[in-house]
Amino acid sequence: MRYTATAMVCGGFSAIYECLSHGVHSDFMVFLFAVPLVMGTVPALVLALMGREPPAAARRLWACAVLTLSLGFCVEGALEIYGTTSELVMVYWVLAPALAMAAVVVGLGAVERGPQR
Amino acid sequence: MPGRHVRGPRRGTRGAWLTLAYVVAILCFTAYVVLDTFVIRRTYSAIAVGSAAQAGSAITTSTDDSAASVSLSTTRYENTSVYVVDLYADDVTSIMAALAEGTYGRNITETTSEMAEENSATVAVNGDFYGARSSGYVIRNGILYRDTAASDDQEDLVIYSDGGFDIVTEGSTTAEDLLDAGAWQVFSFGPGLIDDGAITVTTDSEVDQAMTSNPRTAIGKVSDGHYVLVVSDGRTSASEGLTLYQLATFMSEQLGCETAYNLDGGGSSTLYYDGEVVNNPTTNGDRISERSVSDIVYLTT
Repeated sequence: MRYTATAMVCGGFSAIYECLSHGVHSDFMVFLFAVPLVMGTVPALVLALMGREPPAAARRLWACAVLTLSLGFCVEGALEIYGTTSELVMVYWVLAPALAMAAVVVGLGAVERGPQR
Repeated sequence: MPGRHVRGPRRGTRGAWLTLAYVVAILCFTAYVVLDTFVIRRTYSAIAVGSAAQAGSAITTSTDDSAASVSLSTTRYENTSVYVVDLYADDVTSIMAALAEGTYGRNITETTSEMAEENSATVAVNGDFYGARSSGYVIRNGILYRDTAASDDQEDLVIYSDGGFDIVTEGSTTAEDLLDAGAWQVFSFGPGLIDDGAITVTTDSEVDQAMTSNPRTAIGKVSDGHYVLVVSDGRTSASEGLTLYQLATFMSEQLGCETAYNLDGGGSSTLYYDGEVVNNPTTNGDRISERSVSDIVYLTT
């Protein structure tokens, strides 16, 4: 639900931003909503259907990855629409996959250990 | 073990705090990215001074006033007001560039009219807004300020001190080679509109992500000693604005340009002539207001 709500907020934000951009568009801004939707809602549904719940640490790491990538899309989109660039945006593209991978590793580790009580 | 029962909640609390700390950190970083891109001023030194700059400064101080003249005309084209300044100059180094506050750097801006008045310009238009980007060749008045290529296919306009106009890609040459070849001005925006008398854009061409008619600024060469600055209005009920192809067609068919190049447009498009802004620059939508930019192209008579 949180990810779906976030996707809706992101969609609304990018729609308003694009409306005020005089026809200049950025794919990053257009598809901003897709980040929480694809990385949040979809995996959550799949896990719910499988009856699995990842450990809290993995969920937190994954949420941080989604937040980081969403911010990266938002910032890159805004910069593209303005017509400028920043090398600092690279930080998002490095951090987000790293956090996502860490979440997967922590999640898989918990699955291998199995129930501890 | 009793300890194991309390470790879980503690670990969970610690994890929540770490998550919160990360969220705060990434939000602060995002704020810094925005400030760094749009607010924090950074100044940089020139890389090299070309022979054209040394000769140009000598020529400029000795140029007779009658050697350069300008005239302004206004026309309607494609439901848009278009302003054309004809520049007649025996010496192309009369076409000068000025940087905001006389300083090369990022987030250093002034309006076109402010820079024009500071430099006693008769006519001025906005330049390529080099400060909005961190790459792309920058040579102004024969001085090399930036030599990092934006991309191999980035098209630049080179104005040589002998009067030649050339459109080159940054992948085909270096900024140092252009300086050595006598480049007086190099603008890195584009695209090139007309090269060797032929229109080089199509109806699908646009600046990056822009796909609409827009206010435009362009510079062109008609013949030796005859140059034009073109500014179009746009984004208003009175003027739709031009596509790149319409702009190229206008400069080819109406003005007879053999070379033409698109400079920064949109809200940046400003034409200063004889002490006042004559076009309708738009900022934040259709509000008529001058935008602050990094640089101008100007001429003093």
